[in-house]
Amino acid sequence: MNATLWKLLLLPVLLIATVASPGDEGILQSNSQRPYSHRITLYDEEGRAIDPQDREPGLFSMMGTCGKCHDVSTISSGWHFNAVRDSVEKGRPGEPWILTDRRTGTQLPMSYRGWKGTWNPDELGISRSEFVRLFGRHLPGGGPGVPNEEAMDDPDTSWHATGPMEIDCNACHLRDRSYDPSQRQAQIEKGNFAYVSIATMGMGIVRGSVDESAETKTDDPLAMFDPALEDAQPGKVSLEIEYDLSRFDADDRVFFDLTRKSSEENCYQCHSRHVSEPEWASRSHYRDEDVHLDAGLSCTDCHRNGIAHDMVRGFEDESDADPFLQTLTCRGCHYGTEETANGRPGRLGSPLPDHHGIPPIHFEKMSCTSCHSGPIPEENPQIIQTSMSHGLGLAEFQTPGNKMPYIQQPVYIPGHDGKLTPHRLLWPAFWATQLEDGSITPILPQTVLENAADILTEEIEEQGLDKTTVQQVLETLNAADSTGRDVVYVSSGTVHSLEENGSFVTHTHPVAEPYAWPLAHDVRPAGRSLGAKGCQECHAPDSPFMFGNIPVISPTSGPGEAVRAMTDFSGLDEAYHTTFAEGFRYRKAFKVIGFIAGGLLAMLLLAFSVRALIHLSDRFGGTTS
Amino acid sequence: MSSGMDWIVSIAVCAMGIALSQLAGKRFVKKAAIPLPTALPPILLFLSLLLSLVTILPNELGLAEHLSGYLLIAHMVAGAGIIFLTPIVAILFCSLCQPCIASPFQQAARVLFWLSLIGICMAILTAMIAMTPLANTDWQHRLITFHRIGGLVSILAFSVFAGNTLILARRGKSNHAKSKFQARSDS
Repeated sequence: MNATLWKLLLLPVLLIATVASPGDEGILQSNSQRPYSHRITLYDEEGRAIDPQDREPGLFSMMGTCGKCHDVSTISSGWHFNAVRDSVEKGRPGEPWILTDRRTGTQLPMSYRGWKGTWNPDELGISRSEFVRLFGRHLPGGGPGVPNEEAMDDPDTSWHATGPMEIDCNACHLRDRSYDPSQRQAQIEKGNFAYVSIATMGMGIVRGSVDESAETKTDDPLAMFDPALEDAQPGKVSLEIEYDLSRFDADDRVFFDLTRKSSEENCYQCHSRHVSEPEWASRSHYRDEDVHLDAGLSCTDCHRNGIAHDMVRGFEDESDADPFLQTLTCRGCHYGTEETANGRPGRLGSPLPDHHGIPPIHFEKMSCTSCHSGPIPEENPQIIQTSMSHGLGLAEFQTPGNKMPYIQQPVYIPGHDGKLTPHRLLWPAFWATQLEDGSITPILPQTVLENAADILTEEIEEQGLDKTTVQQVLETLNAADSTGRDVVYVSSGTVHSLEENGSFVTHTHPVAEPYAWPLAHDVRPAGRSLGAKGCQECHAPDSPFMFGNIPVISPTSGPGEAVRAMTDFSGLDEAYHTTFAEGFRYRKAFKVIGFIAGGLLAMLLLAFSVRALIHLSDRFGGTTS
Repeated sequence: MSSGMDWIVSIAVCAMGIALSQLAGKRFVKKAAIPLPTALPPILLFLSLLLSLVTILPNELGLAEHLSGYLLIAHMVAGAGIIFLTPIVAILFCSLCQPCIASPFQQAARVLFWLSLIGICMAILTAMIAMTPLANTDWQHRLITFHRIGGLVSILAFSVFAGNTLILARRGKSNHAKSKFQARSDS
């Protein structure tokens, strides 16, 4: 073999070595459309390689491992992880975290983003670690799960014991189905925040708990079916990791079947919905997927992100800075945008909508989702459960229906752009103190229970709160509050309180107004869109879209006790739209008469046009009479 | 729809109206006054057109973004009147408005009559087609433009014709009184 051939053979090896060598050369990138095969060494937080056969092996760190090649600092600024950052724009309102406690009748929408109608957990006195314990089951890590250095070192916090809950890249990017979200819940319950990644991907077993109060019988959620475990006594086990050696190759490397684009199953971990009403729940197998998924797309075809993980949320006017985002809205994809594609439609094979017979004003007053997304409106909205609010995806016995928090859909409300948009809606319910200036501050459920546990019994939890119970709790809490502030209960869109003479009164208050956030999925195809059966699907005096009822569903009121009209939310003039809808009764007759009149006129004009032509012929052709 | 297209359509409508008024045959019509009952439909049609114009004015003047609300309902009521009355007016006056040797109508009124018929026909048909599942969004926009042009041309044109009709009707009424007075004198 001559020297030149050796050089040619060595060239790729040298190139790879150059790119792969650590240093200041930048981030390792393959830049291929084929995802890189991640057969990699695992590292702990300090950057030390993990030997799974060590007597006390290191704790796998996602940031320590992925951060070798990926800019985790930039990634951690992404939409899923940046809620706690003050500098981040809050964006269009989205689904809140809902602090729910059935016993105290609490369903309190919370968000670190400052969306109007939500409460900031920090301001409510919920520490970040408590927040992780409450909602970490559906947190992808990062954000509130990663404290700053000050909090980490503070002995008054539990962070030094639990460790941070790092961003779990596998939650989205693992392609195979081995990822187990229920293990995330199991580790969080035990306070093992830093051990979530190992347990969820099944790379090892985490035994024990950092939380001394936790019982650590087993992490298997199905262990209850084993009679042998029934008599086993739970106890404290020292915290240890036992790696699954079969996952490691001879060089202690592990293969991660990763994909750049998350599958919809991964997104569904946190973004599932389930109609909780029994009549719907029993028919869940009839439910269709979003038409885009049925057509072969995935969530990330539209909800894209770069390395910054700034997810495209996909609504219009999302960003003025990046016109490319507009191509990923419904309108941008189906119609094309001038900025990026010279108005060419059909992105990702999307059909060009014709909207035959629909007056264009509909597209200026209504969002695409009004007709195409969510369920077709019925007389009453559906009550649904979501992953984030109801912990869907975890193995627990579901009681059908009537499970707090009560979320309703669809409710038509003007969106951020003023267009009518279907929303999901929650009536807040919580105990609170009210100052003389009228401002209301929620009281956390455990504080309520500390004072009123004998009233808010487990039976009350089963039955729900009634007026008498609310009155008793108000009396008790008022007596317990030494500051002289009024204690109130917010529920059913009103504030309940006691007068000085002890009488029970209700009044309205902005904080009692429902919190709503736009829904965009599941998208229905054209033939199943609202209005496909004709104008009178909406323009009729009994149309649920226009004149539906929104039951005020809260812990103190069952369905049907209090009702608000859809027009209260949509802002549509009920009297006008009723009149307009009545007109549609005669629309067919009007059209027939209109066509007859127009046809008559056209024929008359045609007849005289013929005569005009004959006259021209007479004049220039030189004929008769 | 470009403003260029607006102009082309408007000019085409005017040209057709003038052509029809000048060329649609030639026959002798007795130069006579119009009986008052015959004058009633064009007057009512004029009022309907006027109502439709009033309802669309805020939109045309840029004071409102869309024709909507109760103005839209009023516009549709006016439209119903136009649909009922225009065929009647057309049948009653087509012959009288030909380029007659002795028409009771002024030359300008005859031109404008044909112009308004074309405009109204266009406005009615575009509105009706827009209500059917025939036109897609692009064509809906075009139809709205044609509807607006047809409507505006017809209201402007028909106002002159209606005025002329009213004058002739009043003349008919006075001729009738004069003839009654003459008959009484003769007796």
